[in-house]
Amino acid sequence: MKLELFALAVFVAALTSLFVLFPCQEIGIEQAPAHVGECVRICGTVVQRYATEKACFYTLFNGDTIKAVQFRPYTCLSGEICVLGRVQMYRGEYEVVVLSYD
Amino acid sequence: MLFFHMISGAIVGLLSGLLPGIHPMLFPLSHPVAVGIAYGLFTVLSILPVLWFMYVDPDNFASTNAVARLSPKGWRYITSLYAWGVMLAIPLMVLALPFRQILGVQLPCTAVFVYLVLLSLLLILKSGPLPSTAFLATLSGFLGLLALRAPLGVKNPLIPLIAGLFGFSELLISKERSILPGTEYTPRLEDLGAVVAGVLSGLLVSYFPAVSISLALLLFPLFEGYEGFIMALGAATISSYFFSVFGRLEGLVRTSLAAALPTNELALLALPSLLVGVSLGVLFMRLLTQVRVPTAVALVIVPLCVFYVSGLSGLILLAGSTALGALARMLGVQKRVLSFAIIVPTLLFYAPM
Repeated sequence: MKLELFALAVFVAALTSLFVLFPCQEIGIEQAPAHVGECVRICGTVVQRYATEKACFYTLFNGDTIKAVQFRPYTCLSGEICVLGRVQMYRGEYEVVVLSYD
Repeated sequence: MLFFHMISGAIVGLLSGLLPGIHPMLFPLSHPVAVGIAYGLFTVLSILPVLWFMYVDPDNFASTNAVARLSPKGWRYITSLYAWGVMLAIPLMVLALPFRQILGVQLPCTAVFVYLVLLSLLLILKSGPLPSTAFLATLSGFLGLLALRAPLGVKNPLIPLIAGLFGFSELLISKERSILPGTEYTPRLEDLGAVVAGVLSGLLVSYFPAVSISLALLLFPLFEGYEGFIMALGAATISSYFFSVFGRLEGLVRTSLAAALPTNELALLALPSLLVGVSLGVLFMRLLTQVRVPTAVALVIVPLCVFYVSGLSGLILLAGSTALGALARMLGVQKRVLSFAIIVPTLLFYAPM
């Protein structure tokens, strides 16, 4: 078998799994409490949405906590809206900026 | 954003793979996709500086001798041998995925301590003339303690320490050389032993603290000759990174890739990214073999990177560790004994006191 063909097959399979499998993984909300600089993944129901030309601001209701997030979230397998980001500041709420999946 | 992380990881992977002495851990990558792609490319391409300069890579430092012996067969032969080792390890690693929980089992401190003592004895006995080996083991252990345990105030001390001991010291004495293209290697069924040995060694490296790939390969002699060794090395390098991701989820940091990852499930993104990086490396290897980086460029870039990451104190540590690395060459002792710079601080950490 040609080395390049093998590598091409691995490349396609790995890239597909990167784009398709992982963003759809549903992760719970148990990441909280998070700290500044930490990566978090939050899932919840959108209760408020505000959009400009450049960005979307979502407020997610999650248990008894409100989380303000800024980016385009993706839909989990369960139908919930999930966001992935890094905690930028901590002021009683989590303010999250996007890391990927936009 | 995902695309941005892929590009940044690819740039870091190319730089660290092609520039001897530059390691992906020198770059402030934080996203698992960027980290995975960078280490995947680095894993494949790091064989090239060994071919060009007989450079001793910090991760694959045992490869230099085998590459020197196989040089008459040409660079196509050596690079394809190594790349097949990396690629054939992938199905085995994927088959091992259901057993990932094993990597989360934390060993008792006493067991790790006993294992490290035995490892140290094995290293001293198998690395060269006993007096010189013991002398270098003591010196490197002392340097490791000063850098990692004592409050020297060096930021990111591991980078100048490892770069000097294994990389920069070799770069100073290495000479650029030419090598014929040769013919490509075609894998055979008998190579399975080498790949299995590599994957098992990688598993060991990803689980036990302070064990290097060349040392782990000593424990699995399932390969034959220099060809088998190069293949096993490729398989061990990729699998050590692959498996260390699972250890990271449980808080175990055994490779620099694991250290760069977050401790949550996001770290799993590094697995497909690592394979993307590896396959990109194999696809571009032929082309990149023609891009030779002059030694002088690497000699300037390594200290600059160390200064950026660790400051002036890092440069002083780099000078000390480089001197020790050069001393090992002069005394004819195998460089793996310099691993004592990592083993001794780890040994003290696990010592039952």
